[in-house]
Amino acid sequence: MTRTGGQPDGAAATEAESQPDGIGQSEGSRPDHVVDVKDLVKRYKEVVALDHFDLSIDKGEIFGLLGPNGSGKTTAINCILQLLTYSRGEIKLWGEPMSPTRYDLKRRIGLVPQQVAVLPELSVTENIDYFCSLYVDDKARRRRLVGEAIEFTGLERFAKFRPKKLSGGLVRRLNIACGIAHQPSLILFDEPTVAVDPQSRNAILEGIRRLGAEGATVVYTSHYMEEVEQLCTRIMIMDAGRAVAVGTNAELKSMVGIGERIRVELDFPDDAVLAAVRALPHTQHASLSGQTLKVACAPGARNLADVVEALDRADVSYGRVFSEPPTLNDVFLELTGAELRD
Amino acid sequence: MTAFSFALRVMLRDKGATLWGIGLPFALATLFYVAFGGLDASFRPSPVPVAVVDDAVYRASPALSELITATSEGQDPYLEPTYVTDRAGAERLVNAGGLYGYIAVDADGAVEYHRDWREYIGTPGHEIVTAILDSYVQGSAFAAEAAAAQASAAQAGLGQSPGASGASAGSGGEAAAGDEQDGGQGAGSGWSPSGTGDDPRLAAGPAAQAAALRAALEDTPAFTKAVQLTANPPSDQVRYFYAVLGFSALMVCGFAVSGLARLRANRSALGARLSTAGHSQVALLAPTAAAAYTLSFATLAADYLYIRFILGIGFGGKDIQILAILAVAALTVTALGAAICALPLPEAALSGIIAAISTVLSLFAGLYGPGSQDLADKVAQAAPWSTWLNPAREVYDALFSLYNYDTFGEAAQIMLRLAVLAVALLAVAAVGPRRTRHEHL
Repeated sequence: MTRTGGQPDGAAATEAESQPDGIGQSEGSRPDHVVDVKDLVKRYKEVVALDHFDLSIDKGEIFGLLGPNGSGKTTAINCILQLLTYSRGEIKLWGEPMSPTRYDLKRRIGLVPQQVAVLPELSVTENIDYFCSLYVDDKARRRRLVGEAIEFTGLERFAKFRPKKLSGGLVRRLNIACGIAHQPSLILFDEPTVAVDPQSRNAILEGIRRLGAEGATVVYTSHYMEEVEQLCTRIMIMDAGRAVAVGTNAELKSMVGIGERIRVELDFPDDAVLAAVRALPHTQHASLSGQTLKVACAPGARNLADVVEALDRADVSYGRVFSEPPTLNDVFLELTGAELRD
Repeated sequence: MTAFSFALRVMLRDKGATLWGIGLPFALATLFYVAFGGLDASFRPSPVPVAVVDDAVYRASPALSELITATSEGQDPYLEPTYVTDRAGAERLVNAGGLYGYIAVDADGAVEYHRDWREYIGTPGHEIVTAILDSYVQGSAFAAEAAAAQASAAQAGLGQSPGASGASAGSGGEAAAGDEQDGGQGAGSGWSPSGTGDDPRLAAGPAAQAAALRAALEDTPAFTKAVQLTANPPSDQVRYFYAVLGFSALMVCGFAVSGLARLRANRSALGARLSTAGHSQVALLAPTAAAAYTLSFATLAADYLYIRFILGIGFGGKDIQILAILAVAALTVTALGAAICALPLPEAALSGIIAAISTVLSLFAGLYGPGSQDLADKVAQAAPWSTWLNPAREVYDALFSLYNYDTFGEAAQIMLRLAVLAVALLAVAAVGPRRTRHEHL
């Protein structure tokens, strides 16, 4: 089952195979498609890692693959890169069939793998130069590209350091610099912020945003929904090797019936308050948890105002009030019945 | 060239490969030098200090004086004589200590060795002096008997043809001389039966003839001539250092493993990343293998130069041939490293395999001492083919043949076998990359 964005409610859920023109579908190569994956099946013995997986990514997108560990994000990336064989399916890049020997296509790709993959014996500059040399032969041009990559990742002060002298966040930045130095058209980031401090994480996300702004197509896999929400222009939620839903952040959230979640810290919680809130027209669910009143509302423009008015009418004393829009976790929960964070 | 340069840098900075490939052979060679540096010298006796009474009687025995002179000169002297003019002086010197005894000749021409019984018990010094003097006495007596026999024969043959007499006496002269190289000419240098007609002493009778022959034999100081069968003097210690080079040849295959293993997609994230690059596997592997070969050869050459010039171990002076052997050996072990990389094992396990292979195969190159050398020789005799599969033994054999043989033939055969082995190992290595995708880990 794949839900597609642009449709306001769950009724839009359809079988992927029956939506040849839907977002996230491959219907043959289109000129603006950088990545086209169709009906990809990958098995590890009895385990189906990718189950008839489809993916289309347009030029200039920052496309997020979001899903819990084991959902098939990295497997999808590795299949696209021909690091893995697959039992069925078709992969095209820029409209061309991808194969292990399509070095012309590989030259246009940059990979930032989940695990740090640099040479510990080389300095920061040497590492970037080495990986850049796998794509760019001209030494003068390479020197310029290496300098730009160092500047881009903020590693100027550490240019002569070897990786073991760098902090975890800086090594991650080096890992990124090695993947982007040759200025690829398509960059695959596989969970680049795992085990990274907040400062480095922000720097990495900002850098990816800049790459997108400069015209690169980015595929970003993560199980951190906040990152994906912040960064990606389009998101695919994956679970058990399948695409669960595809769309923009807003589109995905619009797929579920939750408008917002409201929390109120009550001074004296009682059942009368609960009854008053449950009586509101957009209330889907209300409960008391200690002194906190939790209310899940259907989409609506005045949900928060209605709840506050109801509390005032009931002459209830309360402290802080929180209103939270639905998260991708809510989307995942509604579509799969499980928490995304699991 | 860029990839080659980077690969070289990476390998040189790989502490593990550098330590095992460069450091260990150097350390081992140095250790052997310290442990076995005096091995050859230990088989040579120190010159024995003795006093020699250089009086008129002694001077009347030129053969003895020349024998003592000959045995106290040269590279490995047996005696260290101190000449004194009389026995009293000799006894004073001996009593003063530091000498094993003194040598003198009595009035009848008999040699005496007055040994100092107080010291040097259990050392071979007395036996060396006694052996030298015994050889003189025996040789002198034999010469006297031979001379007497020849003189009798010559006397009995007077009036016969000179040719028949010459043939008989000539063979006796050869036997007396015991000098195969000279073919008896040395014995006849002072006296020749074929020249009996010209020697006035023959006319004086057998006694005069015997005296003449004896004098001639006594004038020949060396009855035995050393013959050098090998290109260089045999040496026990060189075996250890040739084995070290064989061991080193195996250890340097760590460079190939270090460089090539990480290129495989199924071995590490780095390998996976590299295999997504815009170059074929061959384009990645070839410069790395070339760098590994360069480093392996440079290391072996450095090991050789260190052992040869710093430690002063003899290699027979055939530098070019030896470097050629090491160049081929480096090719073989680079191929061995590439073949090891083809094994579906983690990189850490590959290092263990190198250590195991190097340790075991070096046993059959005789690295671990006399027992190991005996075992290696027995295995080589019983199963010569086993040495063909052992680069350490092949390197050892090639160096040993160059040291001992005049010709390059044996070493060239070994080089050919090493090259064939390299091709076979490269073929094994080429099979590996067919299954290097990530999922095959």
